[in-house]
Amino acid sequence: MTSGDFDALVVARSPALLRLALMLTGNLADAEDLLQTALLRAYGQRGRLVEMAAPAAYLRRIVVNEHLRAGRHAASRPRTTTLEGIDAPAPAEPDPAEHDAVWRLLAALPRQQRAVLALRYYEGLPDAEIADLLDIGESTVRSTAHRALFALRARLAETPEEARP
Amino acid sequence: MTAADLREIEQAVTASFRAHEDLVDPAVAERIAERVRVGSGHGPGAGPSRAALLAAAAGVAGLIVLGANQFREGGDPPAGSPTPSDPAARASTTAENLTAARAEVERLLRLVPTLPGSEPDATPPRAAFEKVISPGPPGGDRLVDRELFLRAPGDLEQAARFYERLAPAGLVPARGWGDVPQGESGPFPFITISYTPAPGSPREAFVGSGVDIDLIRYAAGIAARIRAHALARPGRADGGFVTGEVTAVDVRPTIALTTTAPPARRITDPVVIAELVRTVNALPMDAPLVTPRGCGVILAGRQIGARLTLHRRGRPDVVVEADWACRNIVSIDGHPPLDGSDPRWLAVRADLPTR
Repeated sequence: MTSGDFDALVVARSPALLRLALMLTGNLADAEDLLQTALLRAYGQRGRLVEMAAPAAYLRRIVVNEHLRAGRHAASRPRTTTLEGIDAPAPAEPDPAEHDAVWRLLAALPRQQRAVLALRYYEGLPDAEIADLLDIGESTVRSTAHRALFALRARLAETPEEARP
Repeated sequence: MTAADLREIEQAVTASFRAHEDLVDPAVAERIAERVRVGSGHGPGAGPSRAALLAAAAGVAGLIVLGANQFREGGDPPAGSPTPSDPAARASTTAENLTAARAEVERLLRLVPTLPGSEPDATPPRAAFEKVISPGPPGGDRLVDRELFLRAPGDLEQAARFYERLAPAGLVPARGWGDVPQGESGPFPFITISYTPAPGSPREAFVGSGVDIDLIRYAAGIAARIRAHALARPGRADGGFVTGEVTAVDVRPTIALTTTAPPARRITDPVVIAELVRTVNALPMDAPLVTPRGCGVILAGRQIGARLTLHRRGRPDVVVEADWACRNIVSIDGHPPLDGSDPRWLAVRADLPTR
């Protein structure tokens, strides 16, 4: 693969990578930051990536790893909330139809749990591949997914019925 | 959990992921990829002039970062690089930017709903807040803010509901009391929310805005202080900022905001200083690599959060944090005007990443 091929691959894969980043982070602003950070890292290793047999898979790995790595450093940073697109005072009560309860609950999961779910249920990867990507054992993938699903189900049960999917 | 329960929650998760994938605009992703390619030095503009700059700055790692030719005064941006701004657009003045920032503050305050039974306080317990909660960045020419004091009946449970009232407006995540990002100052909870200006907002006018909500026990109930602020940009029409008498520059070869910075290295080469000043002038503006949605500045292939220390003659140094890496949290702490009208600037120190 030439450097030009690599550039083209990055551009071609960037929408899919941004979608994965969205599934990992839960919001577009963070997803865009994550994609940018991951691609910066990828370009830093471009010489190595162009020699790889499957650079696209490696790009995905970088996105996931950057997400998990950022989580380890996130505790000391101020958390912020985006107010984009809000132009009017809020209604007195939330409109459940406007909220995806599962999406919100996914956002509350630990990063690794959410990553496992995103890779399994969005990317459709087998557990073995997830294990390789996250550098953990297959049994850990299964137990992490189970814990996440169990937590989601328990929290969903506490959600008002009209707000559930 | 039964097998049926498992299938049900798996399907719900899959459906939720699928329902959100259309939020991604492929063109945005491609723009990010292109921006990274150019910013990482792999774009068509990465040629001899850039190499010469890097070589000239060799040994001064921080300034290597600053030597990207995108910021060279009068230089054409590399072909294919992002367009910094519409060349036909008229540059704004600082006064115009302040007006826009004030309007933004008013808009933010209008977003804050009032709890039933609460009303704006005519005699705000300002001192009570300031005893326990940092008042935040001092106001200044660039920082526009307003405070709204509310006195709500009830106790902290009432305050929790106050938070929840904010959730539908997006002011806090819709998760409830326990998960709301909050800090503790003594026994008093508070919350600070910052955000990036919305697309289409006058991005040239202000850097970032936010809402701070502080709650304290007061009298028989809870008082809330809601503070909205917006940080106006120096007007490009006024010549940007950090001009005047720069005599030396300290560069710390470290990543911004680290707590154990190695000793600074003082730079006195006027050519290098000039390059730095031009770069600093470009940082908070709509520079080519300042991205439109809170992503970081890319310089020499790195996303940076810059901390700049401005040394002033006869006055304490001022730290300017330009943390562009995440959602544009930018603060300028107690500064005089940064538009070149203050002759007391002595130097600028930039803490920038080198690795």
